[in-house]
Amino acid sequence: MSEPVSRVAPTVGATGPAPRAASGRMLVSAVLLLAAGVAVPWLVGSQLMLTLMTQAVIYAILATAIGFLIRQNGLTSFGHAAFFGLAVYLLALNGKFDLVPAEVAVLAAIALPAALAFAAGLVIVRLPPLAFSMITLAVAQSLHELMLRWRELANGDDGMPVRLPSTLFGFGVELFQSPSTMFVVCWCALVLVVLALAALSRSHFGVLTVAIRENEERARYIGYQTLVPRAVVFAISGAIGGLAGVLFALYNAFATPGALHWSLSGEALIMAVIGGAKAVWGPPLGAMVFFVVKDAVGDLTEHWPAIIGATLIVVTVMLPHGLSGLVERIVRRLKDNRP
Amino acid sequence: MIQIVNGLVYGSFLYVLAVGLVLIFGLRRVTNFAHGGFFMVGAYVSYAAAVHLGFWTGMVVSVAALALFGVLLDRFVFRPLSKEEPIVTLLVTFGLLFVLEDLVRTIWGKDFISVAAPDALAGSVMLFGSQFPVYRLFVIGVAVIVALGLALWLRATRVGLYVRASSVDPVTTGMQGVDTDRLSAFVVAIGTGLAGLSGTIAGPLMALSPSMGGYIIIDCFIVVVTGGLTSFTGAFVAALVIGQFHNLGLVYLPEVASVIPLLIMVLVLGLRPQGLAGTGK
Amino acid sequence: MNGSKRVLLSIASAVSLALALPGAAGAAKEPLKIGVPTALTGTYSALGDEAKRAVEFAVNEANAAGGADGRKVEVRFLDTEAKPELARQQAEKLALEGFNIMTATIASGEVLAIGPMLNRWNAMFVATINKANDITGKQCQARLFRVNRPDNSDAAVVQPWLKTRKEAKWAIVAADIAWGRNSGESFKAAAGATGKSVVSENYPPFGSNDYAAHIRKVLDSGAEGVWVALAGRDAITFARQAKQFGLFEKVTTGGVSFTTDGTVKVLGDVVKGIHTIVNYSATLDTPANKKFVADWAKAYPGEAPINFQGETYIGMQIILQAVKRSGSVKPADVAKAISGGTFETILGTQVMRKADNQLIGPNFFGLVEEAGGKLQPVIKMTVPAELATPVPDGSCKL
Repeated sequence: MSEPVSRVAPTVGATGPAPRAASGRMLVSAVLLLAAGVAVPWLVGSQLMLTLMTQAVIYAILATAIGFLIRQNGLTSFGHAAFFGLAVYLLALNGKFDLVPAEVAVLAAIALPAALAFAAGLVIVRLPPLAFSMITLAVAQSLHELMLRWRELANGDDGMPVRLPSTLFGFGVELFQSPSTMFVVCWCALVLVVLALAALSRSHFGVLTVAIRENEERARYIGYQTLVPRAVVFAISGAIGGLAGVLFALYNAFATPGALHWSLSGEALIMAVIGGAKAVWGPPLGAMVFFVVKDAVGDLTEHWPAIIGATLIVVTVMLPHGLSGLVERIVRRLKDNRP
Repeated sequence: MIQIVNGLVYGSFLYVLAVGLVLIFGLRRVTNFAHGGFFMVGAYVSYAAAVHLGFWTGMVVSVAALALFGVLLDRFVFRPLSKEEPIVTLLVTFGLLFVLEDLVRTIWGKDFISVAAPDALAGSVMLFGSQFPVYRLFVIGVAVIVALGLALWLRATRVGLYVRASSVDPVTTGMQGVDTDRLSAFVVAIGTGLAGLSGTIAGPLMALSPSMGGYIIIDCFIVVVTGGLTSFTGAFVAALVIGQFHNLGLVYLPEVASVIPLLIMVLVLGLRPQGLAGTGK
Repeated sequence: MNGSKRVLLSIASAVSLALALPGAAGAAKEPLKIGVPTALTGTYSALGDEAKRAVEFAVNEANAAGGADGRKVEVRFLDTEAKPELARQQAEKLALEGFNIMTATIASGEVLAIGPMLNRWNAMFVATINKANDITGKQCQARLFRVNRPDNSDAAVVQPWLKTRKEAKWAIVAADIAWGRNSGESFKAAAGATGKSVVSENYPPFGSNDYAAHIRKVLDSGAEGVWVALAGRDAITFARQAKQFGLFEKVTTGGVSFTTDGTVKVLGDVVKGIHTIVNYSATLDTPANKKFVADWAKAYPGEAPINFQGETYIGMQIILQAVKRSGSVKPADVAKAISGGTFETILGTQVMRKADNQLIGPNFFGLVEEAGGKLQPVIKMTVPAELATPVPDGSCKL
């Protein structure tokens, strides 16, 4: 691990301004975005808009998790609902059985998916990509079946409420249940997650994992450990999925096996790819756009599947690098056109 | 005993559907999430045709229509997208699935449809001392014919040779002068045609609905992946094994029966990541 | 405030009131806005469609008669795909858009997810299809009502029916979901109480494609009767396959949600002679129901309302009567008028029990046979309301 980063840098993504300036820009963007998010509830009066945006942001976080895995490991998870739903059920079950304080449960709901992802990752990240994907699907579906059948534990398909205490981390629980405040919470979580992942992807670790993604053998021959970094990426991806599940559970206060179903994993995957996994901020953008468009079309007609499906086809064909690819192209063109 | 035969029936049905997916993946390297949708369209087309023309004509119409659809699909979706990342085509097939479901729902409505077996197959025979529907034996028969047909075609014809070569190494095969595009169209057509066939067979077994694809697509993928994505023999073996153990699970271990296919897949992938008969790419 | 000022104030208010009154009488009343978050696509879309038609029928009928208490009735449908997470999202949208009197959702899980939110959204919900006991039990809410027969009501009518049956050995085939398991358990209890034995229990997964294993087990078990708790797609798939194995010829078959008006329409002769719990039937002989069926046939020629549609219509009847009684369309007022109220429905006079917001009503058992030239479940046994709607078990704390 003592080799200089530059040996593996050339094959990795964007070369740009010096690292210092780039991270400075990142921080500024993050601060601006955070400020914008805090301002939104004042600017947007409609509770309806705010609740939709809150839910869009929660899915954006899940999509970010999936996108990060694609970007750093080149692996596609067909079962990310496992982490999401696991977190939801952990909170629900803790609410029912009162095992630990809710704050501990929240942290556990992020840590446990991460731990499981790491352990499983040590085994499965070595597999060919499609085998990996199918196993993630299998694990998530098995969890779904478990929660569906184990009625005494979690009430099966009828679902169970998530009981929360009156305060959480010192805040009143209404903070997490009123659209205007919960939007700010979720938005801040999203921005911080994206910031952290962006920083991570520029770090030695991030560059290393991309190098492993591109050519695992070469990285190994150079002398790097290739298994643990990949498992760590999977763990981080699992943790973020768990975070999305936590926010979902706090806001919706209800757990059903649907939170573990492959259709949720599939939708989140679509969101991530539409946004474009090349950029860390691509998947959340894709998620929010997809969510808003699906909602708007659903408002208009019950034939929304045909419209959404057709749109998905067109967008994917025209923008293989997703929306973030499009944005980057536009930005680059604007830069090139600058006098 | 009779339960073994029951397992054979479900496995046979899965095989006919799964092998279509194998054909498509083998040549175009595409994870086709819309395959369940093709299955569903095949069921509806054969039902619609059968209402006026009878079951057998309905079957032919369905297979032909789906095969034609496959040609178009290959030409306008798989071929142009073959240069992109596979995830792009995957997403397109998702979109296609949405569209197909809505289209069928609009044309044929939301109500379930149940199809009776054709008169020739409507009876039952005594098998191991109990009454067994002829139709289920028919399903096994179809799978056997498809398996034999494919095996013969692949091994005994020139086109079959090209297909086998292409599924092992598409680049080299192309370099050898094989028109891989025309070949792909042909093979994808057979793949979708088989989806149409399995949809037709499904009619007298299960309820038709626009979302019926969702009920078998996971099992279908499990069969394909377990068998080794590009192997026809692998798919055959996997389908029969999974069908059998799933059914035995229903009889003896009902609590876990629904995850048995998943477990088998994980086990196989764990021991042999390229699947039972996969070639490792 | 001193005396003269007070007098001045009273005169002023009296004058302004007098001026305002004619204006108030002339101003248009606020419309009644009904929100329907239901399955318009996906696995349950057939049922969602049935519910939609029933609501539309009731809304059109009300508007044609001058509206609900003089108010125009508006309705808005949003797709939940029968997914509880989506149902919550869509219900919130409907509530915030003003369609805050909601009804006709398909899956119990959806209603249970929506229930706790009703206060937060200033909305109310009338369940017309959902069977989970918890809706009026452990998870009851002040603004959540149910008009249809819940699981425990279906359970209560199995015993009287089973007592009339000669078959001694029974098998169970029930979907491995909450509802199916509940039905299986209550059948077992009823069997025990009537001296029958259960020789085979089968709980195939929801969405199974092949029931051969279970059919075989039932046939091998020596059962003389089989109780089937499968619905929708499962019911149709099972019936078709069971027919091929000759199950219905060999074994007496009874069930719940298995041979409803809907599935009988799809399967036809395949399910002739099967016994079934009937929550509502167009063949019910009350004057109000006959009128309803006749009006329905006018609106949808050649059709008779099926079970979910009858129950959803009852829900709409209650909403409309409550709106009139309370003189308001605010969910809090309407909910107050519904709770503990007595209503005239197509099943007669019914009371919405105050203790748990469950509508008290009769339940029925029927047989699939020809009636009026059509194959349908025909009612053979009526279980009166006192027996058919069990008393609250105390789990609901309203």
